[in-house]
Amino acid sequence: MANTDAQLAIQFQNGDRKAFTMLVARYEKPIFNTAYRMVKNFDDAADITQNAFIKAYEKIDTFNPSYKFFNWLYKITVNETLNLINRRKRRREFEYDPPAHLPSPEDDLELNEMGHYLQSALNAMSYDQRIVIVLKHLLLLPYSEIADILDLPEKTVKSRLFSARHVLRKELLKQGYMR
Amino acid sequence: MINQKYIDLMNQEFDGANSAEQSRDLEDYLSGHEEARTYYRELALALNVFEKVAMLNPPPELGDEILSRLEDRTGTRSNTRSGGMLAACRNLFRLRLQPAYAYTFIGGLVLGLVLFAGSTWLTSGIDPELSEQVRGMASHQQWVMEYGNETTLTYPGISARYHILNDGPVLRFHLELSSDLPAVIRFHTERNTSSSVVEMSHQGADSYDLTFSQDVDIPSRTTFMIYSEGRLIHTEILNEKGK
Repeated sequence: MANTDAQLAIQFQNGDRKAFTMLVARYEKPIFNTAYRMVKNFDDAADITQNAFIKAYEKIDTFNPSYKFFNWLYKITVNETLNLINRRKRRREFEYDPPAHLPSPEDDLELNEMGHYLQSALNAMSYDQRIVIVLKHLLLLPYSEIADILDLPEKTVKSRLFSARHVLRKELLKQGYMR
Repeated sequence: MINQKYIDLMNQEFDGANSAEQSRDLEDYLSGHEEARTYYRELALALNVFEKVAMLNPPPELGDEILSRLEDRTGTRSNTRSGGMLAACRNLFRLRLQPAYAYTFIGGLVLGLVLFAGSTWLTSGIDPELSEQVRGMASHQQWVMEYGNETTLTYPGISARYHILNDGPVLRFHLELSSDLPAVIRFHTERNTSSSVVEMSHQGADSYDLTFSQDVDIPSRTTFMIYSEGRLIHTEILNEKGK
């Protein structure tokens, strides 16, 4: 029987570093994908994923196990994503970093085909709309957990989600995806 | 012009958040408004793009890079942390709202103390074999694989395998589902002016054989959904005729 997130977090709080390794294995992929869909850059997504886990490691003593671990981790990821977007806004005009990570050939294909439609539509959304639709449809979280992660009332989450879906539909129609 | 109330109901329908009454209200509205039906179909197709986009693989070295950065910080962290027993007591206190956790914890603590008489139980590691199993299970959130007309779905606590045989007037669907948590299987069929829903509750391991009659001359679409704990975890359009 696999350990739950809460059990792993408690084991880690009690000094078991293997437990944290398992949490990294469990959440590395969804965190990376969330970050990628938000920033559309492989390196930036990898940086956000690293920073989110480092923050989680440093702050594990503040994690309350009666709270869902992945909500706590996603909350850190959302903050890291926002920090990186703000940093990039300030830096991008002046610097160019050559890419350190490249997608695998199969992911490259994915990004060039179906992923292209999705990413273009996501880029047409505001940050607020994008994060809500990514949490809802990529990570399959319910309204209540998205509200928890973003510190928003559920009503606001629903309203942003519905307007994000409207933009998604409009952009995909524009791109000819539904023909 | 589509009434905003019904746009909201369409959105809630996709999330499984409508009451039976709201679903009926929406169906009535859709049956009489072509523009609304078109919008609903387009929205469904747009949301389907998420199903078709696979999760990307992080750079293979990312996990090691994270762990290596953590290695560098171990010394700092161990100096600032409280001791194992104190941390255990603090966690027990935090878990007071969840008696099951507390009882499990207390039971484990007593057993550990009896068996190991104050040894290093609290800091012992996890069985390496179990660790590998967990790592294997945990390496994905949701994993959908398709081989020919067979689809395999893996999600924490749920695994499913299904195939579809679309044979003219008959749509045959075979599903094998194993779920630790209560799940709901839902089939939503839309036709020109009507829609119908077949819903089944599920827990444990079981297989299902379902047959849907379809009139090849009438535009229709059947969508298959799996919900777990009220959360839509998988959806697929099984057939689409004349839409």
